[in-house]
Amino acid sequence: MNKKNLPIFMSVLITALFFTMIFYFVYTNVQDHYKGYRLISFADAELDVKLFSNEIKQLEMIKEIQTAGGLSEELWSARFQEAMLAIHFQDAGINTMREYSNLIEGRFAEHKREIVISQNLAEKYQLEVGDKILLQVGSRYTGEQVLSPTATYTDKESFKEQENREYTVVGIHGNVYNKYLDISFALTMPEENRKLSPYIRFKDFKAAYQNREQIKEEIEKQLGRRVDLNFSEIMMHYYGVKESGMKAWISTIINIISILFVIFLFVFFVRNIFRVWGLRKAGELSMYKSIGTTNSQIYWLLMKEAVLISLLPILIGHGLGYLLMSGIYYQMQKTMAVDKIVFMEFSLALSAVTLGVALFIIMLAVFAPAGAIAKINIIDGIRGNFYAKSRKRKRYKDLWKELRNNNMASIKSLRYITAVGTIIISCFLIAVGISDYFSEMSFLESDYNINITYKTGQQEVPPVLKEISRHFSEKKAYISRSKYFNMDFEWPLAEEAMASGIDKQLEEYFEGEEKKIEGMLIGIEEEQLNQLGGKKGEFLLRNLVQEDIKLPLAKAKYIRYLDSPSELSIYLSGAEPATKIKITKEITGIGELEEVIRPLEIQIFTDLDTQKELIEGHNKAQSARSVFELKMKVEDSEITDTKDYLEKTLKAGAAFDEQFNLVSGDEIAAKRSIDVRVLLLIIGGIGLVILLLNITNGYACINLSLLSRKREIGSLYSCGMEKEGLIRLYLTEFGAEEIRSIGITALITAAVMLTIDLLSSSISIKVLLLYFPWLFFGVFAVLIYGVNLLIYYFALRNILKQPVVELIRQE
Amino acid sequence: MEILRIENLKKEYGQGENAVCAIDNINLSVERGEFIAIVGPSGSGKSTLLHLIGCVDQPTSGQIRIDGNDISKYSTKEQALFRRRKVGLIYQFYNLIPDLTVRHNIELPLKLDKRKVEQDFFEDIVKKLGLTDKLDRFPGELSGGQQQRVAIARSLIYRPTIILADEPTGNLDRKNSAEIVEILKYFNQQLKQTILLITHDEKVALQARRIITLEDAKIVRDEINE
Ligand SMILES: Nc1ncnc2c1ncn2[C@@H]1O[C@H](COP(=O)(O)OP(=O)(O)OP(=O)(O)O)[C@@H](O)[C@H]1O
Ligand SMILES: [Mg+2]
Repeated sequence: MNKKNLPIFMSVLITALFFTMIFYFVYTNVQDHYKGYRLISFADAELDVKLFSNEIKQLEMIKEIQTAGGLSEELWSARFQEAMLAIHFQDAGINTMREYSNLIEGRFAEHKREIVISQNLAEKYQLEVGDKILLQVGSRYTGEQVLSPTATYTDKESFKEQENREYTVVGIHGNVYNKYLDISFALTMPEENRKLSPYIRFKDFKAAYQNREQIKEEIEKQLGRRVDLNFSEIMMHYYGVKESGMKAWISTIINIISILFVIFLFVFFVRNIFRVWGLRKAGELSMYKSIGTTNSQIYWLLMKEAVLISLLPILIGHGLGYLLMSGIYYQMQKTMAVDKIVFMEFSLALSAVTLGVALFIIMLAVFAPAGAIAKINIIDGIRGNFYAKSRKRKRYKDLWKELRNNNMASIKSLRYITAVGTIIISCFLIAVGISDYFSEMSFLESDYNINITYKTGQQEVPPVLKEISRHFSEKKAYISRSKYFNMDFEWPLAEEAMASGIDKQLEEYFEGEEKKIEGMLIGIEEEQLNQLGGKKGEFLLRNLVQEDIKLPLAKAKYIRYLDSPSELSIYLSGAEPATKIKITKEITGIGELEEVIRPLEIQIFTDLDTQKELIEGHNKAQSARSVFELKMKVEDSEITDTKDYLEKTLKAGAAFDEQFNLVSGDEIAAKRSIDVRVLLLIIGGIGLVILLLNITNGYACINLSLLSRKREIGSLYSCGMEKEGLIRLYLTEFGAEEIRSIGITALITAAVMLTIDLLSSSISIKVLLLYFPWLFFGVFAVLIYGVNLLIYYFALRNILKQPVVELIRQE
Repeated sequence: MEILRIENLKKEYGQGENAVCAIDNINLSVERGEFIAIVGPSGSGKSTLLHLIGCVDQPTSGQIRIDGNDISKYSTKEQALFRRRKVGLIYQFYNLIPDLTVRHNIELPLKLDKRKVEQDFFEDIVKKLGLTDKLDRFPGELSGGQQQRVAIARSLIYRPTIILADEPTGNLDRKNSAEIVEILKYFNQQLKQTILLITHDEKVALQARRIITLEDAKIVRDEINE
């Protein structure tokens, strides 16, 4: 490769690399998106009847149906050594439909004696695909009561074995049940005599949905009975069958426009590089012309050569892009801790399209410069007099201003190219800011680092929670139960709330719906209530509202909400009848407790017993399930041990119909940082592409500009200007140019922010500014503009190294 | 009074086998106010000699003394000031800044020194060179001869002690070239400026008081023209 072609090589390589990455990224994302939907809804529709497997199979004779299969909703309980299993059943049809599943290893069961077990079981007993396991199938009891196979497994229950069955493990499936339920998922083939719920996958979902009436009739004819054909809501959403055709059209148009925009952008980015390349050849080409070559022959000559020198970098770029993207895809799955890491698929068609697009870009980029070069006047071409030929020049009174402004044209494109690159990054960073904002919106740094939520049918505080809190009595800890309520607007807003425009915020929040005041009735233990200054049976109102609900919790300021309410009529769980509550007193701080006030909500504190009475009074008929919470603070070094202890204690204490979940502070933090890392990875990649393109393009632009000013440099020099003076003059000029470019970037970024502010009701300019990753942006801007300045400096130095006579003479 | 003294001047281009000797051991002495024509076949080293005196190229060896100072020992700053104030160089190929108007091209040496333009002198030169109505044009809008005249005006504006002109009439017709030589002679007489002028035109050469002939990088003749 010719060294002079290095900029072309680089920028074409990056172009191909970028498009490969984008196309493959979109491709895998679209696939993952589909996979995600299929994981939740493997079928397109289901029938509301129960059928035998062979009956279901016959449905496939209907021409619109691709696959039909059945699964059993009746599960089996089975014991394997110490573990309790819940066995599910699905037939061959479902096996085919579930091409995307959480199967980590192996395959689904294809015979009655084959079984898929869950990961936790496999790990616990070191089971592998191919192993034979002996299961005791039977029923679980507490006393006389038969337990559901998916009830929490506790040591208080008994197991009655009905038969022993031997299975071959053929697959390992990701865990299905919350680990604290302590049951394992298993899946096998149903017996022929079991009735199954039928599921259907169509050949063409949209067409099937359109003809659903007719398909239903055919199914009825086939089965000889009336059925309901229920389409999956999830897949209906995926295919957007309920949306108007207009919306689909608009999104297609937007997609096409954005692809064209990106193509155009790259043309813009690489055009100058080909221009410089072509101009270097202009002398030689003019010689051809002077001996009779036509303009169009020259044009095709340039085009052909440009495509030829681009082929190798396109291929390399594509290969690299593919490797890089599969690496990123792999890394992303790893960060997100998916059960089974899959490799990025290679698609020949997609690769062909990518290569085609890259070539198309090159051809567009060569189009204009090649045309212009082909038209260069022969004499000018031979004399090397073409760089600055056709520019419009303006007259100014001041000599230096005239020089500066007339030269601007030669470097102006760089101003916009760098600005465009920086704007793209700043738009991405705005998106980062927004996502950061949303993730922080409802996040508050907590002083407690262990959080237990406990779901139970009882209204009493679960004894196990009491026991734990006693056990840790010297630690900071408290038990609470939050119960949602809402109420009508009986009480006016406080003066401060009115002054801060809370009424308007409420209006906006409820958007035409009937306005309600929402809140939480929080039960705490008597001891804590006393600390807040209340006595048993009293209600304390935490009468605060976030001044600006668009600010995230961590940055919120609170003011007084309602105007001294004395009695409130609340609807517990948002349902009638109303419960009357007498407010004993208003509070603001809640001491050591931590209860987040969500935007526009109020909190009422009372003791757990009083809360229980209210709930029971409100809900006499059904027994509502309650969620108790125990928050604790332990030393960081003790977290793991404490968690082990808590897991054991909770498991021992939990009844079959109770569930609990245990989260520690570090787990929450880890989860939060993953999202940010993935986003930053993507932006970092795009930033790198832009930076590299900017370098090659800057190199081309700057050289083009300086080449066109060679004669000027020589003149200034021979008229007695010093090299240092020249460098200073040119660098100041270029610096001013860069500042202009930064100005454009800032203006457009601000415009984008303002537009978002205007269009979105939940994001204000204040939030955008607050969450914009300034540091990242600053570093990027310094890098991109700094690199330009460096390139300029070295290109200038290079030119000044030549003997002055050479400069004046011009090649 | 001797203004220019050249001793054992040598200039080689390239290195080793490809080395070309453009100036080979030249010695020369020029008095203030002389009008010298330099002639010789193409490639004999005329332009090279002028570039060396004008300090836009560096000699391989030897000395160039102007007013007694060896210019090849100048620092880059001194060289720059020398080019700005002492010499006016008119190139064989016109060397104007395409982005500046004729007026600004002419004023450039003064502006580099942040000096004011003497309007009378400026207009005098411009008028003599027939550029009065071309001042607001850009070089690209002028003919070759006109551009050459702008270059001459620029070399004169600072009233340099030495004017080095490399075929200033090469692109001009007979009438125009005669005019140019007249102008140069005028400044030579009025301002006592020393002029070294390269030409292929015998008529032009015969206008000079002294004619130096170069051949194969050496001075082969140096005679006074009466
Ligand atoms: N940059 C250079 N590199 C190599 N050789 C050079 C260079 N410049 C000039 N020469 C050589 O030096 C010699 C003298 O060149 P110069 O330009 O001084 O000739 P000249 O007498 O001015 O000719 P002309 O009448 O054609 O203008 C020539 O042989 C030329 O090829
Ligand atoms: Mg010459």
